[in-house]
Amino acid sequence: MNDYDGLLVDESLEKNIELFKEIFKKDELLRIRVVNVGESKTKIAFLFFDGMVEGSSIDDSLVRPCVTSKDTPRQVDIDYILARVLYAGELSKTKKVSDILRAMLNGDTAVFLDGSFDALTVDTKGWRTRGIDEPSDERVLQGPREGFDEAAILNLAMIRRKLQTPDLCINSTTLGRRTKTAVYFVYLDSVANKKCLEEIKKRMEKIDIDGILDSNYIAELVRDNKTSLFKTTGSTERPDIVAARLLEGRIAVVVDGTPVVLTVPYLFSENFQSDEDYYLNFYIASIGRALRYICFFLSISIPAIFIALSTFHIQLLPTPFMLTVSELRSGVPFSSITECLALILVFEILKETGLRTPQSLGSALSIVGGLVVGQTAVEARIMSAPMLIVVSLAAVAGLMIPRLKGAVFYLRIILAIASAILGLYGFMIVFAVFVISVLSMKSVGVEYMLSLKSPNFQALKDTVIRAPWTKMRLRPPFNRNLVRNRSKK
Amino acid sequence: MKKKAICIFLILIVVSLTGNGDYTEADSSYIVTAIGFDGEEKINVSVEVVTAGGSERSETPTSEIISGKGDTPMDAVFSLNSQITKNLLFDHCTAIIIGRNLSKTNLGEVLKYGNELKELNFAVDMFVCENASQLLEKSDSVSVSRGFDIAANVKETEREIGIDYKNNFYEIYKAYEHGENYSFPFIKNSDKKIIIDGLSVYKKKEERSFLTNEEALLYSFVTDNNGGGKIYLDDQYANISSGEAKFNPKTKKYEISLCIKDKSRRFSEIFKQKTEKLLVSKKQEIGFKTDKITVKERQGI
Repeated sequence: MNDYDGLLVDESLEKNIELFKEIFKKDELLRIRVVNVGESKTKIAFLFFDGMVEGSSIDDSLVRPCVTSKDTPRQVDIDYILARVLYAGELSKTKKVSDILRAMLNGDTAVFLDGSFDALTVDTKGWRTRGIDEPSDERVLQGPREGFDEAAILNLAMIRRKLQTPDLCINSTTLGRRTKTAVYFVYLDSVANKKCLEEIKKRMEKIDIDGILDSNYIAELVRDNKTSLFKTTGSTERPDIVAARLLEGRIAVVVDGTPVVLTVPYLFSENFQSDEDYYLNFYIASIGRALRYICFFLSISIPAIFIALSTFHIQLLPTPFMLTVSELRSGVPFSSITECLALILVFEILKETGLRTPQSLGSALSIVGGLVVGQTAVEARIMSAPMLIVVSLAAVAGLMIPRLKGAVFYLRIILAIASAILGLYGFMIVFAVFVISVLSMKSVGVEYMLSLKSPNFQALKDTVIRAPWTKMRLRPPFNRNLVRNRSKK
Repeated sequence: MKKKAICIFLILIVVSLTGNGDYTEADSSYIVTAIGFDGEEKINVSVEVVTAGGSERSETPTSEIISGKGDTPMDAVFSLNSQITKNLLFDHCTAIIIGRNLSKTNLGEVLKYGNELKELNFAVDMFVCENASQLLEKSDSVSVSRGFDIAANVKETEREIGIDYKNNFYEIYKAYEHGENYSFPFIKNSDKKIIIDGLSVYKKKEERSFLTNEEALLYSFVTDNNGGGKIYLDDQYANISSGEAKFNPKTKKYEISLCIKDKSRRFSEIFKQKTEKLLVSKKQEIGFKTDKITVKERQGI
C-alpha cells in the first residue's frame, strides 16, 4: 500500500470508483454498490470485499438507511451521512486512499459520497471464524476447555474476560510488508517486566518480512539463540494459560490469523509444565511434573546409554542380561547404532504419519507400525528386540514432553552417535555440552534456566514439583522491582 | 580460524585420551564365564564361553570349552585365540580354576597374568581342583555355564555354614603380593554337583597346607572369617548367628566369641577341642600365633 501513500480521495465518485477498480482489477471479489441518498440526487458508493463483510450489516446499517432516508437536503455532505444516515457503530472519516485500502482489506466497507473529498470506513467485518473449540494439542481432563481462534480481536476479548482489570494493556503494531498482520502486545502494567517488553518491541521493529501468517514466524525472528534446539518463546492456544502467564509478569503476543499466542520470557522449566498442573491436586500435579523431567532424561539418553553399555562397557551389564542381549542380537546384520538410528527414524515416520492420517486410518497405521515394523522386523532378524524395546521406551517417554519434541529427537540422535563413537565418555561429553549450552541461553534477555540455575526454595516451588497455591506467594523472579507478591501472607 | 583449529585439536586430544576404542558388538564376542589353568611344564588354558542360542531365538545359550597351550598363561591364551574368530570377553568371568599340579609350580604366573588382564571383574573368585579342564568339560551344568554353577554352589555353601572363603581374585592377589596367607576352596564334581572338598592354604606361591572341610570351618572361626550359620561337629551342632575372633597378645590366646541361637549340649567342648587340635597340627604349616583359644558364648536371637 506504500504505492498509494500520497494519494487522496477525489471529489468525483466515478473517479474514486475507477481508481479502486484499477487497484483491484485482478481481484474479482471487490463489490461496489451505488445508490442515491434518499430523495436527493447525491450518489453514494459502498465498496467492500465479498466474504469479508457481514452482508446483513451492509444491508441494514449502510444501504437501507441511505435509500430510505427521508427529508434529505438537496445537497448532502459526508458529515450529514456520518451524523444522520448511517447506523454503523464504528466508522471513521479519512482522505487517504491508503487508509481506505487497509480498512477494506481488513473487512471494513469504504463509503464514497459524490462531491466529497472525504470517505468513510465502516466496521462491517463479518468473516467466519472457527469458534471457541478446545485446542486439540492442549486437551485437559479438568479445567477450562476454551481455545483461541484465528481472529485476534476475539482472542483479545477472551483474554480480557479472564483479566478484568484496567491494569491490562494492549498495544498493537502491524508486521509483514504484504500481509500487514496485526500484532498485539498484551501485558499487565504493574506486573510485567518492562525490560522484556521494550526488548521484544525492539526486536519486532527490526522484523522485515513480506508476510506473517503465524506466530511462529515471529517466534523464530525474535528468538535469542537462532540455532538452538530449544525454543525461547512459549506458545499456547488457551486463554487461561495466557492469563496465567500474564499474571506471572510475562508478555503475550497475539497475532491476527492464528490461534497460537506467544508468551515471553520463556523458561526451560516451562517445557515441563502441563496446562492442567494448576487445575489438579498438587500432589498429582507434582508427580506428573517430576515424571516429565525423568522422561526427558530417559527419552534422550536411554538409546545412547544402552549402546554405550552393550558395545563399550559390557562389564557393567549383569551377566544374564548381557547373555540375553547377545543372544537376541545374533543374526542381526546391522550394528547397534545403525539399528538405533533406523528405529528412531521409523518411529518418527510413524508419529508424523499418525498426526497427518485421517482418524479412520489410525487403527490400520497402528497395525502396520506395531506388527509389521516391530514384530516382523525382530522375527526376520532385521532388528534386535532389545534395541526395539529401548527405542520404543525412549519414544514413549518423549511423548510426555510434547513441547520439547524437536529437541528430544535431535538430542537422542546426537547422544546415540556420540555413545557409539566413544561409549559413556562420548555420552558425557555431549551431555555436558548440552547442559552448558542450555545454561548460557536467554529468553528476551532473561536467563533460560533462571528457576533451575540458581535454585532457591521459592523458585523451585513451580519447577520440578508444583507446590500448593498457599505456598506460591511470589511470582517468578524475572525482575526484582516488580510487584512480586501474588497474595497476602 | 585459529580458534577453530585449536577447538578441533582439543576435541581430538580429548577423544584420543579417553582410550575408548573398544567397540564390540555383544554378539560378535565370546563371553567367557570361567577360565581353567592346568599343566606343569606347559600351561593349558581352558575357557568356558557362552554363545548365543542356535538358529532359533527360543534356544537358550549354550557353553563350550576352548583350550590352548603355551609356556606362559599369556602364550596359552594367544594360542587359544588363534583357534577362534570372535573376541574373548573376560568381563563376565565368574570363576578362575587352577589345577592342583599347576598351583604347586606356577601359581604366581597365573596370578600375575590375571592381574595384567585388566578385564576381569571385581567379583571373580578363584578355586583349585584336581584338573581344571576336566571339571569345566563336564556337561551336566544346571545353569548356562559351569562357571556360574561353581560360583553359585560355593556361595550357597558359604551361606549355609557362614564361611567367607576370601577367594576373590583381587583379594588373593593382594595377599600374594604382601606375602600373606591366602586360600582357595578345593572343588570337585560329585553326583552332578560341584562340592567343596577342603581348603588349600597358600603363602607367596607355595601351598602351605590342605584343610579338610571341618578344619576349614574351624580355621574360618580362628581367622575371623565366619559370619555364622548352622554347623555340625561330629554329632554336635550349633546355630550360630555371628562369630568374632581376635588374637590377644597379652594372654597369647585366640579369643573366639560366638553368638549362639541354639546348640547341642557338648558343642562348645567339641568345638574347643577340635580347634585347638587344628592349631597344634597346622601351627607350623599355616603359621598360627598360638595353639590356645578361649571361647566366649552369648545367647543370640
